[in-house]
Amino acid sequence: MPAYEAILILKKMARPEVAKALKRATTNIFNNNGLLFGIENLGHRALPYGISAHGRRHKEGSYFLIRFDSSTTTIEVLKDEFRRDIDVVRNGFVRIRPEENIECTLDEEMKPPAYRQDVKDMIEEGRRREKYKFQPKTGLEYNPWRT
Amino acid sequence: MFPLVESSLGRIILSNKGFRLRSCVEYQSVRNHKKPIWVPIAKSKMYKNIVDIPPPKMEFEEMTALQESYTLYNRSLWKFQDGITRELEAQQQKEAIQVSEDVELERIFKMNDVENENVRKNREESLLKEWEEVEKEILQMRKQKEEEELQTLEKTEEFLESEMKRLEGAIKPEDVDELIEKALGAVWDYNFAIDKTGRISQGRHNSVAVADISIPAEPLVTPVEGTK
Repeated sequence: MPAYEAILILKKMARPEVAKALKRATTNIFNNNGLLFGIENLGHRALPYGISAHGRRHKEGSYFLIRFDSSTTTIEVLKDEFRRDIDVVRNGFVRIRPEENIECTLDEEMKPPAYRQDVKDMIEEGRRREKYKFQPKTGLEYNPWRT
Repeated sequence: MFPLVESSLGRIILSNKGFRLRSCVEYQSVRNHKKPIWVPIAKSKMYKNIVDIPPPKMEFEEMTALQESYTLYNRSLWKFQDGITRELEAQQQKEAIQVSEDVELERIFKMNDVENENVRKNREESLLKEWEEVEKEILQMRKQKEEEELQTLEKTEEFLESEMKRLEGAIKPEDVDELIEKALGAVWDYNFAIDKTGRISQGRHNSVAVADISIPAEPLVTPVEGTK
């Protein structure tokens, strides 16, 4: 099963209500054959802009990350569940992929063009001109026209 | 008279007269029991009546006819013989040509056989060589494929092991309440600031009030393998 990260912005509530909302979310995940791996609290913050949800205008919200594994078809179900939860202002899902090992080449890129290896290679490629070599294409191992 | 010099071959007449001579020596062949040419006819034979009796006409005609028939017969024989000879020669020539053609054909066929044998040998060698190369290539490809499969298998096993290891960190439904309480008690802030000296100040409000935010030493979530 692929790994996902659910982002939940809960409305401004007291701690027990927040716990209940998180409990509902995790229960939904378990009900849809998901595996929970952790909950992360990113704190209570002011929203970047006012968000209307479930008939109310929200200016603050509690940010939570829920990391879980589930099948790909479950995500739509969970999205629907979270959308209909009146305590959730916004929700989102991110697929967690293995991190790619990318080497830092900034030092090489900051060099002048004449010192860069890729430029050197390009110059070398531009210089190389292979002479045309006659190909008899007779299927023989020897040259039948040799005098 | 001219002086005569007799020899076994004839008489040599020497002349010293005033008229021009073609040669100083005139040769006259010896005519035995006959008079020389320049001696006149003997008187006793001067009035000898020589009667020329022609042969009978019939004889001449007969001779002519015989001669003609003989000639004709002879010619016809010669012609016949020529024809036979020509036919024989042509036949002989033909046979000779036939024989030479057969010999030539035999030689050519023999040469062709030799050439075919050489070509067959060369072809077999080249085919063997080619097949050896192909076999080598196939074996190499098979080896490469086996190695790739082994690598894939190893990778899969590694992935499965890591997944199994990760699954050990999965949270059970009965532990959710505890987890929620823990999460609500600790806020994790990914924001940080870095200055030129490399000092890192963690948290969103680090410059204002660091003490307001409780930063746990480690995130509460179980990290996925290969991710931050």
